[in-house]
Amino acid sequence: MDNGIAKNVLNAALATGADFAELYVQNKTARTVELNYKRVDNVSSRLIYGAGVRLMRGLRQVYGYTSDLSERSLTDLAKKLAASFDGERVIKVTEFEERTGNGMHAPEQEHGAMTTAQKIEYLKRGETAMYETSPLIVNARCVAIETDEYVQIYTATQNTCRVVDDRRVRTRVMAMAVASENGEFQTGTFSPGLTKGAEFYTQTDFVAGAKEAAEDAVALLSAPDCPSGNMPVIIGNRFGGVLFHEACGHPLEGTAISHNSSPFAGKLGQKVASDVVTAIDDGTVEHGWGSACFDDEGEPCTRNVLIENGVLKSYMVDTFDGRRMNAQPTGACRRESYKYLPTTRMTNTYIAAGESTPEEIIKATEYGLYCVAFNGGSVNHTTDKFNFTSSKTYIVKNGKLDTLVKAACLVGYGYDVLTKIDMVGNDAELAAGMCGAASGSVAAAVGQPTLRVREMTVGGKS
Amino acid sequence: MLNIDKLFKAAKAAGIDVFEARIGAQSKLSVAVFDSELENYTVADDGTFKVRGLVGGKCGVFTSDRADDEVIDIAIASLKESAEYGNPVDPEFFVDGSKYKYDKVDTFRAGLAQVPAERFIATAKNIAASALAADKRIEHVNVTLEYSDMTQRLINSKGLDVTGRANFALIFAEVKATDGKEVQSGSHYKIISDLDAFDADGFVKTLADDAIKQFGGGTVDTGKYDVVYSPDCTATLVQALCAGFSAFDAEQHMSLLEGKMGEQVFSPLFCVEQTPIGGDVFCSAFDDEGVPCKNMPLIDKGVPTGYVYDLETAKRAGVESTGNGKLVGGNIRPSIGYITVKNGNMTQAEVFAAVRDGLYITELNGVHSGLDGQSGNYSLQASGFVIKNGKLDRPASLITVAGNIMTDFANVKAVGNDEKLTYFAVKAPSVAIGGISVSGVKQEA
Repeated sequence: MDNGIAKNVLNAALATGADFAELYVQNKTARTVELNYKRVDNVSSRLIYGAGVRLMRGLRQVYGYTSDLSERSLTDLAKKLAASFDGERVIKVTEFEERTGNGMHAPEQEHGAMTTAQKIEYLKRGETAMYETSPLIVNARCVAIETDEYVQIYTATQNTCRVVDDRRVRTRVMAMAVASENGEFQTGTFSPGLTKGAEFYTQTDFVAGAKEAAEDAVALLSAPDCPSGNMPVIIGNRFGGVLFHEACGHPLEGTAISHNSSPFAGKLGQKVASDVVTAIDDGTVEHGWGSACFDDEGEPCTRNVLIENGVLKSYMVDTFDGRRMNAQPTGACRRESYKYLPTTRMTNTYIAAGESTPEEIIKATEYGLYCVAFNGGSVNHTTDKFNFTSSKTYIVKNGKLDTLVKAACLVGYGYDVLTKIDMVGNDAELAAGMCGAASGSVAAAVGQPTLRVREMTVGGKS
Repeated sequence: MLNIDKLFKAAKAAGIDVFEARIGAQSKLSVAVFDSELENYTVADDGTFKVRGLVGGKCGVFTSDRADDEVIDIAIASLKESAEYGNPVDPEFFVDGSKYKYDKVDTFRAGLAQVPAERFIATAKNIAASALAADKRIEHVNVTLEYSDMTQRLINSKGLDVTGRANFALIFAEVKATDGKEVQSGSHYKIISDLDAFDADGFVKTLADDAIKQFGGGTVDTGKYDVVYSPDCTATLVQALCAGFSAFDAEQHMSLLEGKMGEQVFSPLFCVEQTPIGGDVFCSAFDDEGVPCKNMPLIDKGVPTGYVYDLETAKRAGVESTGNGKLVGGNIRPSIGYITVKNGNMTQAEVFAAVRDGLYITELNGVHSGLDGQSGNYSLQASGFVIKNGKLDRPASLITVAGNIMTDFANVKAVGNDEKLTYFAVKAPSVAIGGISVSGVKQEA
């Protein structure tokens, strides 16, 4: 986008008294290479290309988007949005202060450094490993997803007129195994991702992950149903962080806090979790799946300590919700694409490491569940009722792992479960996921060490 | 604007033997009201552009939001690269322009298209104000009213040129209510094709009740229950079940319904059909291959009647396409667009009476993670009400339900006549199912 066009568009948008104007320009290529049904099933790409214009005046926000980036189209859109206000101009854009990222998440290798044929070969090794695991594997799906996104975010306020350039390059691979026997199906999945380029492929042991996914699917075929009821639950590290993401992460987002629709609203400085819980949203994790140099309204991403030793320290805040909250943005305003009005979203959110080893946590548990792999979950941020699904779960008996059981949903109240975390492990790690909410589906990492909740409700069948 | 002639000429010049373009345009207006004040207002005129074509008998695809002449070269180059690794596709699977006649669908409402933005805003504000006034325990309300007008044009190099258009408004509202001790939320939505016929008072009553009636709830004992699923919950489960009708999945031995066609798999009370021809917003005259869509039974009195096909799977099976081709990633695969679960002959109250003691589940959460379409197993967060002596009793605040979509619909005990058009593209009534595993949440005081 030419700065002159951006200036004209924003000045048209600001003509009727808006006190904030933003032009977000996105150019993103998403590419998929997929093996499925024992063949190369899909090699395709998609161009996501367009712009959004956002205006604010007080506590009102107007937004419009288009995939026509001509000056005429953008100016027409700006004028249409400006018609929502009827005041006098308070901001005039003359020039933009230019900001670019520090490149800390930049790829070492462009996606093009590996040919499509090489990527197919890479995936095929995983596919072969899955089929070789067992004759019960009836399908092995292997996918590589690459996105290369370039955004320009022009912002005009009474304090600053700036343009932020940011490039985000992400790579993710997935291996999904389906096992079947006597008409029953079970699945296993491996799906890591990072804000990296082609180097991600060589740094990831795809074959080992694919093999484990296939082994999980086969083992689950003969696994009994998960028990139901209330019991102690050990939640494994990495994607176990979906617990905090759903139970507390969403209710700590500015959207929920600013509308007083979260049990954590008005509780800064108060004890909301047990002493062993420290939770962080950190968009600065080097090459983290949810990392970027700037968020989607041009604020630098930050490391934001949300809960420290059980005390609520901070919320995640975007510019618009920050107006209701009288708080500054924390660099976690995100959107799937230009088609979405941006709002506060998590980046890489995790519970910090504690002191126990995972073995000590298991040993200290007389009876309960140990959840190792997860499918995702959801939350109602008003009531803080949350759920997530454990797809690989063991029963723990007398301090030892016992039987593998089938998948089950775990539910609770976020504010309640935070106080029931009684042991936190020393093995914190992050895992990639996609989070769907108001501003679309965004790359969000979750994480935690192995931890124990002294009681949760398990939705099994036995 | 994209010059279609230029696009097709470029495809031909690039050696793309058969070429197809799918041009989508969407205009949108969205208003969001928080506590009676207009908070967000969004407008958009946008589009999507997909091309598909054969190069040396192999099929390639490309998708773009950008639809102008400058993207033509990118589209052609990307399609060719995609085709290099693409699956072989018979040229006859690109439909000849003169081959089919299409049924009419009534998905575009001119009256709705004329509604000014001010009226949408006023409607949303009115709902918000009425909800706040409905009960003193209602503390906050969010109302989103979104109007969409979508056009889809499918053109190919064999003379096909068909266009579909649909418009609708979706009103979604949620409230937060508190009595000083408990906090409850409630939500309600309605898909609207005629704003004049919209019953705002009824909408607000349902919205407010959804929160207020949850006060004083508790858990239930863990065990097996007869459960009545609300229309939205039924729709969620049926949508997953109907994925098994894909002829492609059956070919790959990945369908839960493989080998079960013509057999009494489900309860005789359970009837499902696909209904793409009609007047609901999810209807469509043609599928993604340009083949006419058609209404047809899927489950007749508990008996699955047949798979759904695209052109390729139909040819392999020696049957006609059922008009269910859908472009998924780089391939056309059979998929069902709009499903109707047939109404039963009982009112909802009669369904409760038939169950006598059980649970009425009004909300299922975590479906994307807790329902495994491959195995049919599900374990989900739920809430609703206890049914006692045939009548609704107290709320059941936070529980889990676990079952399997194949075995559950074999245990249907009653079907209501309260069908609802849900935003899952499924029209469904309440359905009572026996023997669902339920787990209750124990919360410390």
